[in-house]
Amino acid sequence: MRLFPNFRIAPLKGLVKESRGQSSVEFAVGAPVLIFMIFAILYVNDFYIAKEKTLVSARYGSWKLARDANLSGDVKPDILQHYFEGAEGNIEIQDVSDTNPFNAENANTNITGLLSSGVDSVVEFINKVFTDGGHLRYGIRVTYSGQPKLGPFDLAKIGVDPIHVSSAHYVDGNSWDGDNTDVHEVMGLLWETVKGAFQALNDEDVNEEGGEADLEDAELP
Amino acid sequence: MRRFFKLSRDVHNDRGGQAMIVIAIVMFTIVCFLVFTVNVGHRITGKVELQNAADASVQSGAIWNARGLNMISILNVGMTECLALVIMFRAFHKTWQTTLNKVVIACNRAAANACSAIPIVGPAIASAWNALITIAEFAERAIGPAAKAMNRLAKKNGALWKLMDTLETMERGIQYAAPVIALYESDRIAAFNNADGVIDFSLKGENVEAFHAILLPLPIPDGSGTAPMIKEGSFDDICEHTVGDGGHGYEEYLKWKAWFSGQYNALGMDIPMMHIDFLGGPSIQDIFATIYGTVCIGIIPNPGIVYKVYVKVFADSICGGSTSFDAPETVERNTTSCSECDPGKHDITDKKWLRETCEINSSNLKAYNCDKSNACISNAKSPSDGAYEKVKTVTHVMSEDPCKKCILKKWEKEIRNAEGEVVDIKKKYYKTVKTLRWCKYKEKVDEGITPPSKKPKPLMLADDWQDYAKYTVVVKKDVGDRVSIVSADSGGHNAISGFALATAQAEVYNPTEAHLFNQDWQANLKPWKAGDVNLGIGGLNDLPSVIQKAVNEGAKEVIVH
Repeated sequence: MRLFPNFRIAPLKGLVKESRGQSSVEFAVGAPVLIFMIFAILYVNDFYIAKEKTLVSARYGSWKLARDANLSGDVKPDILQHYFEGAEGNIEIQDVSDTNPFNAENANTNITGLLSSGVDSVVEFINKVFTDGGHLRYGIRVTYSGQPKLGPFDLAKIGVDPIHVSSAHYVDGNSWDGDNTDVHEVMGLLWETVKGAFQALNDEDVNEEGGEADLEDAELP
Repeated sequence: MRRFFKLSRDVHNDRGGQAMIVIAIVMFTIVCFLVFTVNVGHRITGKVELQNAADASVQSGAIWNARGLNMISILNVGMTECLALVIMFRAFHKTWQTTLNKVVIACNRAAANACSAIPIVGPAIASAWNALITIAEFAERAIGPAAKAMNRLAKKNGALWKLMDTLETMERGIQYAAPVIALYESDRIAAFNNADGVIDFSLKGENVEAFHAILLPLPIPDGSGTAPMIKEGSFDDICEHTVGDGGHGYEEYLKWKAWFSGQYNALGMDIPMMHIDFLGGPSIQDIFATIYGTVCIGIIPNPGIVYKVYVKVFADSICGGSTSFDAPETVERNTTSCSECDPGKHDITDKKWLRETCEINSSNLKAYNCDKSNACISNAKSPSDGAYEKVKTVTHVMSEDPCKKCILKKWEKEIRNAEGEVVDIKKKYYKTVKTLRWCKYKEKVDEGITPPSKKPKPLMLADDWQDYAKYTVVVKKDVGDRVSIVSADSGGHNAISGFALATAQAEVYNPTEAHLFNQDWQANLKPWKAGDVNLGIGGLNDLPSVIQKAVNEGAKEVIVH
């Protein structure tokens, strides 16, 4: 005896068929998201590769500059050639030697900032005297501007800003060597002393000659 | 069990929402991968940045130590240049004294005049000779003040010796200052590169970023007074690099050819009085040789040679410690000191007094108080017309310095009647106050050429300097996860905080010759070795060796590259 004598199996079979279609729909909806996610992973990966390249190239550039500041003009093409060949248009390289990111903001806000910028000034002065105006700290900032693309999809078209990846590296200029610095300027001080002595001598002579005339010479009693 | 398999089969048969589940699982996995990628990327770049910071930090610190050595080298070279000047000035003065003086010139005049007696060519020779002697006289006047000034600078306790002392003091300051600046700069560079020193003294307050102290064991001078790399040298070290083979030698310093030939520009010096640019850019030797080679042929030794001999003699004497040329010499002194102007003490050659005379009202010269100027009755000079005759003089010394003397004189005039008898004696009293302006006297003094008893000592490299020329730095940086899928309040920043350490080593070296007259000291990164971690900070070198060893060993265990 059947509980539902009029029940027919055919419509149910149709339901099963729909169930199969649903899976396809779910897949159709989910797959692009998954693909986007995979693109996102690649994208993030690219981002970090770019970040690392900027880090390493900034270090390369600043150390090179610190070795020989005369290379200032050569460092940028060098970085482009060694690290960003084919992507030169996306790279901006700044010479940030002697820019002090902390002093500007800290000098006004706290005592350690003041102290620090004060000591920096002294150190910078010492450096300037002995490097013939060379920088104290050499720095290179490399900025990579990437198009926001997820695989084939250009997100710029929907108003996403370009991505900037920037790294800076600072190092002190390599030591003053006799070739690059005019160390004998120090000896200029010595010569100034000698000249001063000559001058003092001349002044003394003038004083002796210009002495007051006495009224009358007399024998010592 | 059968029921389980049936259930399982049922679930598999029910394919409604099946893809959704799979997609959710896959998506979760991919999200995990995404986060993983971000965090690994963040950590890797963070660590690269950290290592970069460590390298830059130690390099910068080491560089300032190298600069310290360069500074000391520059000052050492300065000391050699001072010593060269001393030798040069003394030789110049001595040559001037012995060859270019009035006696020699007079001698030449006489010889020139004698020449004129030679028939036919005599007068022509004499007039040419006299013209040259006139040039020599001019040179004598021009060079004289320069020679005297040089002598003043070079003599014992003269400015040049004092300058050497000053340079030495500066060196001693630099050996302390350089490591401190290195420490500071090393920390600053770490901060510039987004890392911190390990020991952080900063007030962790609002907006406080600056002034961390970094663990950078630098060879700061300890109790011995010199930095571990450095030892106190001796005066001989300066000598060696001035007159010996060790340095450029005085031969180069002592020639002032720079303005003419561009050579020998060791000092870049320019002496106004030496600009005699005839007969080819002259050195001092050349000047003397020119004057005497043409003016005084055969009569006196060639001053160019005399100068060279004196340079050699003075160099040997000063550097060899010999006193053979330390003979006293006569100098003329100028003074306003009353006691020095006493003819009983010195041979006074010239003097100047200011005299003020007035007539006074007194009958007792001995008791008269010279200081009372109101005793003057009229400003008058002492009588000198012969009417009065000086009968008595009394001198009071009023004050010692400046010398003030009061001379009281009694004058008398006899009044006679027609018979010539003395009927009265008129008396007048005068006071003369003499104030000393100056006097000149000659004195034999020790103007010796030997250096002062405390000879300047340069700082030199210690024998084991290489053990202390290696610097280690340790920096830290937060390189925690960028994104966390566990913690809710990540805020996108360092959800799981975790700092990492990085260390680097650098060494100071000299690519040419390692000594402290060479300003070529540089710094470079070196491969990290635990054995090179030098904890000789402050007085730590003085700790018992057991503790020091333990600290060193501990450091080796902790610091892993």
